[in-house]
Amino acid sequence: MKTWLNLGLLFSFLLALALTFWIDGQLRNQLGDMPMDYRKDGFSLCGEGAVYQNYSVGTAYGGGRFIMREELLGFLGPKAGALAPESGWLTYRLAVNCRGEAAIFQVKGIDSDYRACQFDTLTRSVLWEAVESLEDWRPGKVGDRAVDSYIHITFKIQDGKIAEIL
Amino acid sequence: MGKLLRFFKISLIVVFLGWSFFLLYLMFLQPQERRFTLAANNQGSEWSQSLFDYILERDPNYDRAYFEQSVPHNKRGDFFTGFTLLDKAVEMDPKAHLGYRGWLKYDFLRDNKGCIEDLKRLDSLTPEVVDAPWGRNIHYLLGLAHKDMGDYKGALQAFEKYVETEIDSSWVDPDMFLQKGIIHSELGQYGPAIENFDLCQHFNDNRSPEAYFYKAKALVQLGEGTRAKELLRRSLELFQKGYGRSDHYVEVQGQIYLPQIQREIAALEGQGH
Repeated sequence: MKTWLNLGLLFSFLLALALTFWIDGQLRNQLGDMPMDYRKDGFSLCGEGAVYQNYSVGTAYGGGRFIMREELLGFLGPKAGALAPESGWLTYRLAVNCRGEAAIFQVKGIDSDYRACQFDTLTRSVLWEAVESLEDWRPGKVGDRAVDSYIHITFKIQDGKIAEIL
Repeated sequence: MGKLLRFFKISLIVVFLGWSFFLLYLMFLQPQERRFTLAANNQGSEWSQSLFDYILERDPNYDRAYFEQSVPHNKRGDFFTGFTLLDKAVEMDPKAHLGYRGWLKYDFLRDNKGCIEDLKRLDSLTPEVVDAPWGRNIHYLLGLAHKDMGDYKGALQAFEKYVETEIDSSWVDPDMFLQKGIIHSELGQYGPAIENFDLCQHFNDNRSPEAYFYKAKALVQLGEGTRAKELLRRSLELFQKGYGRSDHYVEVQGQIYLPQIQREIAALEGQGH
């Protein structure tokens, strides 16, 4: 009887613990998070805690998208109109830490029919460099406290030309 | 002592099992609709996605679950996954989801053609009503998409239909007048452009930095630099007070930024105004 009771206690405790931890982990893990093992020299998130989404904490670029666009197109120069002749959308996802330092950690593309699309390797790397050249990130804020957050930049490409930066 | 300890152990077992049962109930046993709400309230987490997966496993025709599951993917730039899910919802119930998809194609991707196709299809499915995807008159959205793709004639026609389908012009989003004004400016029709910017300003209680900004640009074209500078100053002031139009997710059409206003002012000052 005593053994059964102890076993029951152990089992019920482990079950409750496992379920609680599993749900807690699933609640913490958010879609579009930076992979845990992601490393980039000279970049780290400020906190161990939550990394917010840009639309919740207002992560921005100095001078807004107007300046961001100008800098990206300035960096690309004639290349902006002479990429491989493909059409679709290429999205770079970045983490912007509380000090305004940024790191790209994901690139995802779709073609004009919304099918997953890798895009030309050169296109991907040229735009990567352009996004990486952006330096005036303004971290998102919760109250007055600067926080880590995620943001993305989407290039709309039409026949190898950048038609829009979203 | 032995009895007390046994009682204590049994109580703990009851608490642990009760808690476990409660968690399992939330995920697997509670009514579908409540599980849906729980998943929707935790949007973006893996738990929410798992709950939607389970809902859809049990009921593959639950179109709203596909729709709701798609939302965080699109908000976070994974458009392949987002639209794959959303397409399923549209397939199951086009009337319920075409409007949102059409609006999203315009808003997030500036896929104007795709937006127009979706909205036109929705319109043809519901001939008896004026659709309002995401609370916005369908003709207004069509106008925005036509304008963004440079089809000004199509945009002006859509905006006209927007006004016709509202009770009167006070029900119209003042932004429409801004968009119309920008179109007329682009076409070199500065008179009608200014009329529209004034209407936008009127319906905004004179607090639209955009309407002042674009009106000033029209005035510059008409050679009225000094008056333009005055309006730009007002635009700047309103902008700095936070009256500029913006959106948490995307840039809105015709949105202006501080350096833009400052540059226009500097250019006019450079010309001696």
